[in-house]
Amino acid sequence: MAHSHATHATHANTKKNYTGIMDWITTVDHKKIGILYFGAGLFFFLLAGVEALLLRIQLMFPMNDFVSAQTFNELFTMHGTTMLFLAALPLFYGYMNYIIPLQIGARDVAFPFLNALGLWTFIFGGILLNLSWFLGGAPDGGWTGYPTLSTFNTAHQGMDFYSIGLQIAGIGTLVGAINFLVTIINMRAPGMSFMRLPLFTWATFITSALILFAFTALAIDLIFMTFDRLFSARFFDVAYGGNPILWQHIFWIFGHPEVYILILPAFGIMSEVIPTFSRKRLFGYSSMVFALALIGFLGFMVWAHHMFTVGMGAFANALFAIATMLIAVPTGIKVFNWLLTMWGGSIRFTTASLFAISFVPTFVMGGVTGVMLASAPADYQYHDTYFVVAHFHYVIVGGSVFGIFAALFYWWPKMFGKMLNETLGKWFFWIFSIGFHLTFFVQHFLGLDGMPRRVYTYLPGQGWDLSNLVSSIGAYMMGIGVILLLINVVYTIRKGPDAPADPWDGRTMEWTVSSPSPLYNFKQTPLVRGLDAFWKEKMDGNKGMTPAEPLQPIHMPNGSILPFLMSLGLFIAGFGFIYKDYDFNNALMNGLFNNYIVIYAGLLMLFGSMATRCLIDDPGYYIQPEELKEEEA
Amino acid sequence: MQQNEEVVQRQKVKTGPAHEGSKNHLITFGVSIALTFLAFAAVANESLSSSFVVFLLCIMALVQALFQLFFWMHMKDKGHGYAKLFLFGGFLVAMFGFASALFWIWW
Repeated sequence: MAHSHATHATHANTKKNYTGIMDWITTVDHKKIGILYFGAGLFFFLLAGVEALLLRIQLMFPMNDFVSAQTFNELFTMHGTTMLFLAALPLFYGYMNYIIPLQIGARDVAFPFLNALGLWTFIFGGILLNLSWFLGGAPDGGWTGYPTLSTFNTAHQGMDFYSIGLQIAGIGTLVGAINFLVTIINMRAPGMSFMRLPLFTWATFITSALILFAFTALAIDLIFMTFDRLFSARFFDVAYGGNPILWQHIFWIFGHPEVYILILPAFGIMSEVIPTFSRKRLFGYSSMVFALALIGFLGFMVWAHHMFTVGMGAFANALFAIATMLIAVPTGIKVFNWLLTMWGGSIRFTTASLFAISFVPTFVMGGVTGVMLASAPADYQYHDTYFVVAHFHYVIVGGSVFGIFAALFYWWPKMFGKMLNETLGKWFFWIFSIGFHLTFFVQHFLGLDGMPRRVYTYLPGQGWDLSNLVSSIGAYMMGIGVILLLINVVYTIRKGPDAPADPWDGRTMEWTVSSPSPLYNFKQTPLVRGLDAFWKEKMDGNKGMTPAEPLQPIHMPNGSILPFLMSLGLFIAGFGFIYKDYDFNNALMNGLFNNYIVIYAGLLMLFGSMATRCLIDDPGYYIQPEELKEEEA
Repeated sequence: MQQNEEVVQRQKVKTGPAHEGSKNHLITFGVSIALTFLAFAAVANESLSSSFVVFLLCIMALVQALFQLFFWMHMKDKGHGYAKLFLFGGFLVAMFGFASALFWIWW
C-alpha cells in the first residue's frame, strides 16, 4: 500500500469504479470496512439487547409465563452468543479498522483484501447463526455450549447453527486479528517506534495476539462439536470413551482470553479519552503498555477458574485461584494510572469523558467481584448463581460497553464527519448508567440469596421478587437510553453540525486529517517526533505533522467482489452441512441437501473465488500528485 | 529514480536477501507427501510392532512440522523476528496448557 514507486505507475492505473451498494460490497478501504463492522455490530447489539429485554420481562414476576422454558433457553443462549461474538467484538473492530491506520500514520491496513474477507465472513457467520430463529429454533445450550446438553439434543438444528455459524464468524475474527498484527508491525510511519504507539494501538496489538491464539482453540472445539453432531464422532460421549470435560477445558482456554479480548480494547479507548479530556499526557505510559502485555499473558494461564466446581482437585484449584488473583495487579496499575492522569488535569465533562470517568469505578466493582469469584472455596457458593451474572455484566457492560460508547462519542466526528448532540448524549449517559446499576447491582444479592442463573422462572416468597422487579425496570431504562442514542444518531445524520478535523483538541494522529478522513488518509506520510505525535507538533507551534516524504503518486488497491463471494460460498456450504441429513418432506430439497449438492456448490464458489484471486492479478491504481493538489484548491 | 533505488536498497538491508525461488518448497513438499505415504504404509503393515509404528509416526510428524515452519513459513530466513516471537509465544502458551492439564488437572 504505502509503496509508491513511480516506475510502476504506468503498469497500475486501471481504477475500477463502483457506485452505490456495489461500492460498499466491493470495498477494500479500511475506513468503509470499519463503518460496515460498526454498523453490523450495532445491528447485532440492538438484536441481542431486545433478547435481553424479553428475558427481563419473563423474570419480572415469579411464575411468569411470557415465554416458554425452551424459548427462554434460546433467548439467553443467543443473547450471550450475539453480544460477545457479533456485537462487542465487531464494534471494537469497527473502531480499530478506522482508527489504527490513522494513528500509526498508514494509508491502509497491511492486507486490504483480507480485511474485506474478514468483514464478510463475520457478517455471513452472524446471519447464519441468527437465521436459526426462523428455521426451527435457535441454539439453546448456553453461549458456552457445554456438552452433553449441546451434543445429545439433535431434535432440532439449533446447536448446528451455533457450531457452524460461529466457525464461519470466527474465521473473520482471526483474519482481522492477523491483519491488525501485521499492520501495526509493518505499516508504522517513520519515527513511530513501538514505545510511541498510542495506547489504543497497543491494546489492539495485544488483543489481536490474544485472538490469534484463543480463536484457534475455539475453532478446534467447534470442529469437535460439529463432528459429534453431524458426523457421529464421539469426542464428548462418555459411553464411547469421550469426555465432555474436554470441551470445557478447550472452550475456556479460548473463553478466558476472549473476555480480555473484549476488555483490552476498552482499556485502550480509556487511555485515549481520559488524557484528551484531562489535557494531560497519560500517566505512566510504559507501565500501561507493560500492564496490557501482562494481562494478555496471564489471560492464558487462568482458564480453569471457570471450572472450580468440576472436581479438578484442591491443588489445581489453588493454582488457578492464585494465578487469577495475580491479574488484579496489572489491572490495578491501569486503574491508578487513569486516576493519576485525571489528577490535576483540566477535565472537560463531555459525553465521551463521562463514560470514561464512570468506567473506572464501575469496572473496579466488576474486578472486585472477580477476585471474590477467584477464591475457589467461595466459588462453590457463587458458581452458577446470579452473582456470576452480576459480575460479568459489570465487567462487560461497565467495561466493554462503556468503552464502546465513550469511543462512539469520541470518534464519531472522525468516522462520519458530524458532531453528535452533547445534550442528548448526556441524557443517554445518565439514563443508561443508572439503568445499568439498577439492573445488575441487585443481581449480586439475588445470587448470594441463591437464585441460580439460566432458570426461566422462580417461585414467589423466596425474597427474590422485589430484586427481580428492580432489575427488570433497570433493564428498561437501559433500553430507553439506547433509544435516545439512536435518536441522537438519526438527528445528527440529518441535521448535525459538520465536524472539524480536531474537535476535541486531540493528541494522536487521527486528528490531523479531515473528518471524515480522505481516501488516501495522508497526502504525505507523516514524520513522528514523539509520543502523542500531534500534541507534540501543537506544542511546538506547528499546525500539522511534518511530512516524511515528497508529494508523490499514491498506490491504491482496487475494490473486489471476491471477499463477498468467498464468504457467501462458506455461508451456503454451512447450510449444506447443517441440513445434510435432514428430511424436508420435499423431493427437490432432499435431493439438493441429502446428495450434498448444496455443500459442493458453496465450496465451489469459495474455491472458485480463491482461484480467481490467484490467477487474475489486479495491481490497483495510482492517485497522481496533480489530483491531490486539485483537491486542495 | 535515485530515491526509488535507495528505498529498494534499504528494504533489502532490512529483510535480508530475496527468497531463493520455489526449489526448496517443491522438494520439501514432495518429501512431505512421501512421508505421508510412508506413514499410511507403516500403519497398514501388520508385521511392524505398534510401539515402533508410534515412534516412527512421531519422528515423521516432527520432520514435516519442521519443513512447514522453516521452509514454508520462512523461519529459516532472516528478518522474521516477529514471526518467531509469535510462534514461540504460541508454543509457550500451548505447552503451559498441556503441562497443567497433564500434571495438575487430568487426574
